Amino acid sequence: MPLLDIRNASRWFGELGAVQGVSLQIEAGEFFTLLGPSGCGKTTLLRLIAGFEPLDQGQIFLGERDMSSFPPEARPIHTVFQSYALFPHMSVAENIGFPLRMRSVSKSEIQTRVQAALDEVKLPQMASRYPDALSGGQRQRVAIARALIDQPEILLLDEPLAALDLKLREQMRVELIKLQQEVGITFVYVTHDQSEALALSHRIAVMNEGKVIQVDVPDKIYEFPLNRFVADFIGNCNLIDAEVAVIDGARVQLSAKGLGTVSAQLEQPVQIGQAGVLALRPEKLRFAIDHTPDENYFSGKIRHQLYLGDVTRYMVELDEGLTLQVLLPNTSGGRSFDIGDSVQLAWHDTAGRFLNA
Amino acid sequence: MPSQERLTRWLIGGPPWLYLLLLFVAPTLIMVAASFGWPGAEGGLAPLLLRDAQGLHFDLTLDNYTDLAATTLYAWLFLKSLAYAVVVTLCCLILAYPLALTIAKSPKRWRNALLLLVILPFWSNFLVRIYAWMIILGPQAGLSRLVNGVLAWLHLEPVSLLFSPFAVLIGLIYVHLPFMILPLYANLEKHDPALLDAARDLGAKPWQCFWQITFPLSRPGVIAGAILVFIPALGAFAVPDILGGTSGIMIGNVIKMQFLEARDWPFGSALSIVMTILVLALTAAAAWAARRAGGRIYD
Repeated sequence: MPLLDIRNASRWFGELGAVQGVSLQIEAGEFFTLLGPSGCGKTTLLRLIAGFEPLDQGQIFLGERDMSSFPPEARPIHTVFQSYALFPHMSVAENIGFPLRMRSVSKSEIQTRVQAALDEVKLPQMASRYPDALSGGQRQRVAIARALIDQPEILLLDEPLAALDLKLREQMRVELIKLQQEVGITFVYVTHDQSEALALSHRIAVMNEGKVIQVDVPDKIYEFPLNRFVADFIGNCNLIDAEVAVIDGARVQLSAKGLGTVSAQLEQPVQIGQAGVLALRPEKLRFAIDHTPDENYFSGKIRHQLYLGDVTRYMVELDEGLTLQVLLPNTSGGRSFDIGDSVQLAWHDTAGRFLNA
Repeated sequence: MPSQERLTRWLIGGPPWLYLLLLFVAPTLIMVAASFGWPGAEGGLAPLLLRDAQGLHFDLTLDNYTDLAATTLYAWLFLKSLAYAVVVTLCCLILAYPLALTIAKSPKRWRNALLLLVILPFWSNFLVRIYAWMIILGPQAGLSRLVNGVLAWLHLEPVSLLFSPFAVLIGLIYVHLPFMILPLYANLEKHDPALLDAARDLGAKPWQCFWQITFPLSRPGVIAGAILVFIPALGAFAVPDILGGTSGIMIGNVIKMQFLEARDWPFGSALSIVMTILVLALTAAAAWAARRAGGRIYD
């Protein structure tokens, strides 16, 4: 039985369906991410779970309890807000102790538990500071400590890393994973940053226009996107309009625009003549002087290149007319290729995915 | 600093300073001096500087202050005015808070219209509005008839709403209410709604959200509004003059009478100075108490 069971939840703002018939099951102890572009409804869904917004349709169950009509304070669910929403007139200790005070826990117990929480988030000396005297990273730790102190069943996190600078953000990713493992509480995490979602989550729900498009583990989401939107939104992808020409067992011959005939792995049942899109990750392509029979092989010219330090991103214009992105690690020192160089591209049949448009 | 910049600074900063110096500091100093003078033979103020057989010398006295201290009536009037001002301030706070909160939480496009309604009374003359209250509270008006009808039904003596402390309090609350609403609104409007979401989320019931988050954060607005209401209410004389009759008299009326009717300017000045010192002392005490109680004040 899932810990959180969202059944056909909808929320409308006038004509705008912010969340439209979303169903999700989240297991206890999971790090679950709602991923999507801004305006996709992920934050509204989070607010529905927290109880800030009423459901227009559907139900939300926590275990066996239907929480749909519970006010926020009656749900054993806490939120870490994007702005952290620390109370500016309360010290760090008062902020962290707030949920306990609301539950009338004794003063002495609050004090010991707050001190323990401060040690936990490595801010033992900050108890009497006020939020405006803290750095962004410290504020975030206080917000997390405050939301975890009375051990909620679910912690909701609304883009908690968005306000931090890059270095700190990467450091906090590791800390969040460690924290979630330590406390064992279910995390529901909202972000528009696909690399954050891939790095942190056990499972990801990709959302667009108020609907859940695909729910799966990160590598499945990346390797086997369900449609063009997911392939395009997660990572970089060459997306080529194509049509099914020949079905050959587990393989399929596609007629792709600007490319000619290519073969790809068959993921879903298709019919001859079906139109779709061939998704090809740039890192699955290689520059080759030779190729095996189960590889696609094309020649072209390098038109642009972006040197990124660890990798270089090449834009290769094929003789057939199509331009493909190729991502190669910079294994040897210096640059191996230049703009205008003629190259051969090869990729394995299993690298390409034929998706619904 | 380049001389041109200095000139600009003087041109911008000079006029307000000059204004305060001429129309606030100088009159206050004149009042202080007058409070140590004698009344003139035909009222007003006798010359403070005298030339007689002993030559040129100051002709000053402490009589005004000793008279004031010796007469319990004045102490009583100060206390009464103080009590009125406290009641008016509290009533304004209780009435204004829900109003300011409602305006601050209403949709943005409504807010300016609602604020306009708050300041709309300022468009008509202050005295006219007080005279209107005279009619509303008058013995022939519906309100008096209703109250006295109920009293008669209970076999009680009829009362006069007008010319009573009640009328003075109603008038003072009415006049000062906008001065409480506006600073409260200005404060409440800036509150981050995420803080209330967070409080609810962390287990606070709606009334706990108010007392834990909204009210403490609004304290600067409450203090500003209280000062704006308390000080003018303490020195009020027009409202008690018109609505108060003999029983609703306040210290402001006595000061006015000393200047205009008794024409004892030095004694009126002494009363004024005592009241000014009282207001300053109370404001300082309130600020000190607020700092001690809360530690920090947020805007």
